[in-house]
Amino acid sequence: MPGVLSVLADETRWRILSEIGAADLSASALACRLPVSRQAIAKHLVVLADAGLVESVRAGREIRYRALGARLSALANDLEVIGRRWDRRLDAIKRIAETAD
Amino acid sequence: MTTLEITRSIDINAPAEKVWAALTEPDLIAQWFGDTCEFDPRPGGAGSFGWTAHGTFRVVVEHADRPKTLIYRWAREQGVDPVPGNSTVVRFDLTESAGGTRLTLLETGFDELADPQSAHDDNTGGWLAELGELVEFLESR
Repeated sequence: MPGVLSVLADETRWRILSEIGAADLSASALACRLPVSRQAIAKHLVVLADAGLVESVRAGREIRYRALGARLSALANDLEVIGRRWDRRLDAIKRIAETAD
Repeated sequence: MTTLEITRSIDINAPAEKVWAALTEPDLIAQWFGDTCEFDPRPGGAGSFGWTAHGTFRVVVEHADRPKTLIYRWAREQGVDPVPGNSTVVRFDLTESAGGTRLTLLETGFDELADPQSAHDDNTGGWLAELGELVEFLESR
């Protein structure tokens, strides 16, 4: 879990992911939309791809980037599992507190 | 849809003092959290939660306002003191409700686990809120 959170805890990477979540875009197209150089965007895309959050797809002569939901879903599931553990713990706390002395 | 914090509530038919005891007395904690427990419910109080199968994890109390609010930082790695980056923060709030006590749990700090430096960024709040929406959107494509 930590890896993907670290990757997401960056405003620019988050904006890149949001943009390509709406439509597949090339690094140049992203540079037009965000106040960041194309070189910086390329670096961020490598980080996002390494984390399994984006993949590149060829469209004619252009490389475009596409957001992948699976890794984010896995993250959401991890948190859901932690939440369910708390449900069980809170049930146990309730039983303990409601038991007469 | 989930964001990067966990919050849960439960209504308990017992006075707040009894709920507080379940949250702070080591022999009671060990009945709902791990197998062994040392706990000192005072600000700065150090303790640990132990699991026979997983090991012992240190905890430090950050805030204790009996019987209303308890906040502690809990290490996610064995044998280290919990600091931002290797731990999460657990907060319990106890409020009166219909003759009993509503207990609310909030666990935060999962984003800090990723990268200690990100804990100091002010911009993490935005993407925390949006994560759920993005997951939903990407899954619906």
